[in-house]
Amino acid sequence: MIKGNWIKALIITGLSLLLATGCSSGDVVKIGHQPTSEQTILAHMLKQVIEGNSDLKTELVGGLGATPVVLKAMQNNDIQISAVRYVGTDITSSLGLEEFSKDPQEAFDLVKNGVAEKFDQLWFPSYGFENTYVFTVRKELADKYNLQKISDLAAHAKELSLGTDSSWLERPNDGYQAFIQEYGFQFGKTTPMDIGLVYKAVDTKEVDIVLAYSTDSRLKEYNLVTLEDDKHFFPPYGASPVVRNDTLKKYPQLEEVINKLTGKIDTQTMTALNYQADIEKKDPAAIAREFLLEHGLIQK
Amino acid sequence: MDLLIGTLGVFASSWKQLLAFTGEHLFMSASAILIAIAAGVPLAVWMTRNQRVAFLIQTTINAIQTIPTISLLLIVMIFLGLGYGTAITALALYSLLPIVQNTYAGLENVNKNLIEAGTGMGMTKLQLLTKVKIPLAMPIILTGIRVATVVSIGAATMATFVGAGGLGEMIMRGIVTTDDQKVLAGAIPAALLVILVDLILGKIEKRANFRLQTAKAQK
Amino acid sequence: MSEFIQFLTDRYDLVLKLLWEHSYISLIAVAGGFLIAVPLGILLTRTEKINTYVIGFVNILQTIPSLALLGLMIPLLGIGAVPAIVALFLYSLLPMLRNTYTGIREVDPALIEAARGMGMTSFQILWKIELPMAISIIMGGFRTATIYTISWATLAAVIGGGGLGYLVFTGLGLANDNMMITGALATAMLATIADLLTRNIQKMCTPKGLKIKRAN
Repeated sequence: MIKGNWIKALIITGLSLLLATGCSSGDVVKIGHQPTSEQTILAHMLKQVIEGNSDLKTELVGGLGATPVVLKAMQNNDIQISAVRYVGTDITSSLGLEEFSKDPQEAFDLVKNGVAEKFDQLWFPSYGFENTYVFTVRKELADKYNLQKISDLAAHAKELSLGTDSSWLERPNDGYQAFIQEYGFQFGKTTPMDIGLVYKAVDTKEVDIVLAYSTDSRLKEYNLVTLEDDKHFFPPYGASPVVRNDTLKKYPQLEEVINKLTGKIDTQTMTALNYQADIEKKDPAAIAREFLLEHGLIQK
Repeated sequence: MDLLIGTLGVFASSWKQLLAFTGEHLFMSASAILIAIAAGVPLAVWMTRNQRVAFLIQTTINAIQTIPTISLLLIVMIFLGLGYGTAITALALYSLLPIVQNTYAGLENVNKNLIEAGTGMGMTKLQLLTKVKIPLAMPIILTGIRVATVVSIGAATMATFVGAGGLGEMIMRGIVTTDDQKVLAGAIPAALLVILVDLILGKIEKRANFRLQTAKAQK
Repeated sequence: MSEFIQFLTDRYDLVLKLLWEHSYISLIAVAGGFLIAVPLGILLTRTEKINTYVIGFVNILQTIPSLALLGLMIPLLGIGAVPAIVALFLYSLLPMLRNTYTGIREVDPALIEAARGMGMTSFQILWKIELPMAISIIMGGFRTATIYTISWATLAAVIGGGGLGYLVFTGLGLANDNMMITGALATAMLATIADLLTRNIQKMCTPKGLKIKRAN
């Protein structure tokens, strides 16, 4: 009886191993992405636009845990394309720079050159949207205190609590310390936590202000009002695909095909696409396909 | 209620994918547990031989346990890249603790009179281990394995972080989009998996107990 | 290396504060888990019928992903250390419950019969025979649970409860290795201290009779 079980387990293990190794061969370009809807939709767009306009085959590697995992996978050649990388994130994390320009073009050049030199990867021109930090407040608070821009918070900040992702308070260039200097006020309470949980916390009024990401569809879902960054504190960072240079050399047609997406998706469009995935629960692949067809980037 | 209906909807629309995820999940946690048993039990036996080794191994395993998931995955990735290999290795490392801890405690707890009796009968060290100590410690060892299995199936959600799929992929999709239906659609099969595997292990444990009873009867 | 020391000297007050938060969060969780799991484990050996359900339930708790569990708790317990402690408490139950149950159940039935023959009450049997015989197994579960809880307590940071997870997640977000290493090393240090302490508790708990036997 015991023996039978073990043999079964062994057979299952063996078969699964065969399956696992069986599908990872051949001339396939792998596109890696993190599990957010934004990254998943864009990864599907890349896949469809590449397969629809060239004879290359692609495969998606989804769910990657964090930017360092994506970067390491690119270096290992486990994946050849990062579906989306964000200028600001890569300058601090991949390049390890603390102080840098808030001018979008200068920052873009910095990351493009840095990534080319350090990792031999090509940073494509932006998709056309930016994903940056935005201050958002609960609707009823915005109405009560007549809040429209970040400066309006100054008078009430002491009684308000702010929920942020876990790294903003420590960010050297555009983090809390720099924020205090620029805007000249502090919040009564700051709680760094997982960004997904911040939305749940604002829903139950545990926090009043959410430092959110600009293309996040949940701003609409949780009825949050975005405050204008009137002192232009947060740099607007573009989002781009990144590809290994040796892959581009091997498949010369790739660069042109990927560039079909350049400048096609602005911040509003991206937010709307995220909304379809997050709130309307549409399949990311279908969202990508619909968008590409609508813009004539693939044929039926 | 809406949540339940929604979750059923996810099951209906993506059951094929969920089935594939469940298969991957089972494959990864099972492989990890087998590796952890193969490494953990001998380690624990070694620990019973030498106090200093015991301390060293215990401290190392504790330290491994405290390495944050992503850091451990990043370290293993240097050698094994993305995919199952990295996920299984990390899971195996995380499952060592209860197996080693219980095997060690179980072996140490064996009634010394029985060991003396064995020695008196002229048993060699190896015979003592395989014929007296391990059979007597078996229920405790199996309890450790059962704890490790449950923990490992729970922790296998992290496999998605290195592109190895599994139910974690569905769960993470749900978590990053604050979509509880997807979270449940991933978590419920994981829970069912735990129940199923634990039932099977329970059956095995009953057999082991049977052996223990005979051992007790024979003594 | 020098950068790492620089980080420590610059931010030692933060590190100490997080270390303290991490310690009390894990301690309360695991102590609470012990107080529930051990009596429950003993109870299960007396009522074998419900044991499948109780252990099954605790098993399932273990598979709930931490972010999902914490998300469920926000409406009930808000944010901060409290929901983190409750989540860790729930996660800590399994190893202690399982080991208590097995430890007590595996006590030689001959010993219990002998005790009963001597006229001991069931409480006396539990207190004087079963618990002392099973204590090292129970404490083994306690040690596993302690180490697990200390390592899992990094989850407190994702719900605003602080602790060393703050260094880990922030370090990850900023790719600041010094921060991550500090977080990981401090957690490992806590685990080692806890292991030494629990080892001594285990020794103190081992009944004299068994100890003398070992010395032979």
